[in-house]
Amino acid sequence: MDTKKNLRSSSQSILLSPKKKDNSAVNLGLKNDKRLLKLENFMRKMNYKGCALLEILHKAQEIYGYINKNVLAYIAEAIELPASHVFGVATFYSYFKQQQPGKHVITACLGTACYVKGVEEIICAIEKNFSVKRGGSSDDGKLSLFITRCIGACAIGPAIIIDDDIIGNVTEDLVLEKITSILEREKIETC
Amino acid sequence: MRLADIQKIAEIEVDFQRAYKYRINVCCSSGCIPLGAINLLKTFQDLVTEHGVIENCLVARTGCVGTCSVGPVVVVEPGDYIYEKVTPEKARKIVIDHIILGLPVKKLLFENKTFIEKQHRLVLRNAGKIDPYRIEDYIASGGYSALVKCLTKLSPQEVIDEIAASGLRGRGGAGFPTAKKWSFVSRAHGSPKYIIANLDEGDPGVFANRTLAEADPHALIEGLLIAGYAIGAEKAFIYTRAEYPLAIDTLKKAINKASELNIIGKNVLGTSLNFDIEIRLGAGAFVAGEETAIIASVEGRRAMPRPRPPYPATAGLWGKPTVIQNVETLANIPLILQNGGAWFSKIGSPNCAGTKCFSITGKINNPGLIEVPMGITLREVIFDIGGGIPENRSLKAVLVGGPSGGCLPDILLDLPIDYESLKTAGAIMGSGGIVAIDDQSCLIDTAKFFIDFCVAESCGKCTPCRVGLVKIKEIFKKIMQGEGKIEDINLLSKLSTFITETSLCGLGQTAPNPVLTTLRYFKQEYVEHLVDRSCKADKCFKENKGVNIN
Repeated sequence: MDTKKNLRSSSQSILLSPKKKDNSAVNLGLKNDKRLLKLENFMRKMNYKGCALLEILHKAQEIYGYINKNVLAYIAEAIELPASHVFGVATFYSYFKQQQPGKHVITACLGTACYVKGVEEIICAIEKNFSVKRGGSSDDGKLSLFITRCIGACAIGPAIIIDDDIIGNVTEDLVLEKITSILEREKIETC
Repeated sequence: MRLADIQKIAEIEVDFQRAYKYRINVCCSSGCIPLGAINLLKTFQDLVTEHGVIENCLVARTGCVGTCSVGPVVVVEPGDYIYEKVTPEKARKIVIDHIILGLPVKKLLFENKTFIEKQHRLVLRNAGKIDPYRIEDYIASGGYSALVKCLTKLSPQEVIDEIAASGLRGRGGAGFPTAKKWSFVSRAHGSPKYIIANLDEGDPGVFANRTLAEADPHALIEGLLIAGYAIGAEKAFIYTRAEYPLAIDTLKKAINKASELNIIGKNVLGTSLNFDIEIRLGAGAFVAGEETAIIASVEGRRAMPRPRPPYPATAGLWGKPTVIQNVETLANIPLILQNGGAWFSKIGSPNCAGTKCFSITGKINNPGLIEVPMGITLREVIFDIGGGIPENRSLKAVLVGGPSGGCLPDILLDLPIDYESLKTAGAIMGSGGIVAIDDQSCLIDTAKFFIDFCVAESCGKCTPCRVGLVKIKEIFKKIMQGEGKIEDINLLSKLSTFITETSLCGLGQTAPNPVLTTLRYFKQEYVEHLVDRSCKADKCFKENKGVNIN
């Protein structure tokens, strides 16, 4: 509680009028588009309360797909907390992404069950075959590879999520083939 | 809605269900959905319509049956016939043979009887049996009758006494007596009081809580309501992992439905009890399982623990008295109130009443979710229920209690599973993960995997955990690259003990467990790595061979 009070008082100086908030959005390079409006509406619903910060960050990630520094700064101003605090919270939790993910996202489960069943080798194979590092994206921005700690599909491990589809009992060949076909389809569509 | 209406709903629903001769339960939990369960549900619905048996056979979506390795799973009642790996073609056969002709399709059945018989399903009583989206189904199975009993017949103190008589201990890992926790909070000064239900199942390899929330959300809600009544709290938060979308959705729907029926909200069922439940999403922080960290997270801050005292029972969420309870504990509450504390205390082992859910995974024939009485041996779990190790390989170790649990050797297979025995053996109950490890795994590599996990998840507040774990990781790296020295064994042991003794919270205190237990039971493997530079599982000395890490 005390910390919270301190944070509040220290942030008094950046109290902003609604009008100024609009300016700050422009200054931060955020377009005043529908996404920002959505975020703003959500924050209003939460009464701009600092204790709802995690909910707000979840919403921001849902809207933008990731949360960049400008959005964080915008949120900080809106809920009257120091930007450092908001940034600290956002980076503390591994669920919040600070970088834009690639067009297709592979999430490998690195829970114990999947590890024992050899997911590490599969992750290495993906890294090697598609020139992408875990936690990052390929140079062309087409593919991202993330690691998550257990999605709870342990009984069908090793499990990998490819664009929201959970695939259980995966083998190296199966995953490489799936990813290749997704990327090929992508190529054909863009041609 | 008022108290008496619960009984009415139950009667109407029971009559409704009695009109059907058969009931087909399609498991639509996170385990079966990736294997096509949702389509299968639709297939069954179409099939019963197509064959004109829709008035004879109810098709319902349910939560997890537990036999996750043979999904999608379908159960036909009466008789609990479990069908495994059901495809649309098999579905047609089941409908024609079993439903229309009344002949169970034997060759499609899940035949492992011991998997079912050795279990004692209390918390998971409704998992795979009721439709989690229909509150009526829960009420018909006796749901919310415990709440009605509390509100009409028992005083808050009597509720706590009943829980005390049951001997229920927290299922989150530490095993603190639930009634004791509740009476601390009920006597604590300060209001409002809060309850936090911990559904932030951060342990990799564990999915019991998720399954519970997906399969029987109302049991959790009822448990919270009774807890609220007993301790005088009017607000509860369910802190859920964000990675559990289905559990979140199921809980949200259940909360909405319960509010609609005035089971939660103002003047619950026409009584003076007010109770509200809010879902809060975690965001991927293992340390948030620690009770002061979960409080920080619900308050919207980094999930960092703080020293205790003051304990959350006196100064918890926003400085108010708070009960933090694992969801599995909460799901036990309605049963205890329904059947009495004395009934519950007879289940399980003498100092550890009741059952425990375990996710059994790793190199095992029947991975899945099980619920067994406390005091059952590891051997029964791994071999009788789990069906042993695949490919006729031999069991090397059993990891009990998640990443901060212990690696136990096969000589300890007859160890009864309860809080004290596990602790003596160097493991912990944790959130109930049992991972079987066969001879293809290197335990040095496995121990390092867990240390890696804890290094990444350490919040960084206290030095032993933040720095010490990194040091352990470096030693392991050295060993695995062939740079280790025999003195490293002592160093690891000293460092691990030091971290255990001096860390601020449970994460740091238990993080070295895999190291300590592998050192205790598998010292030979360390010696092989350090002296002979050999790794029988062929995991170490590979890519970085000959590389000098300095």
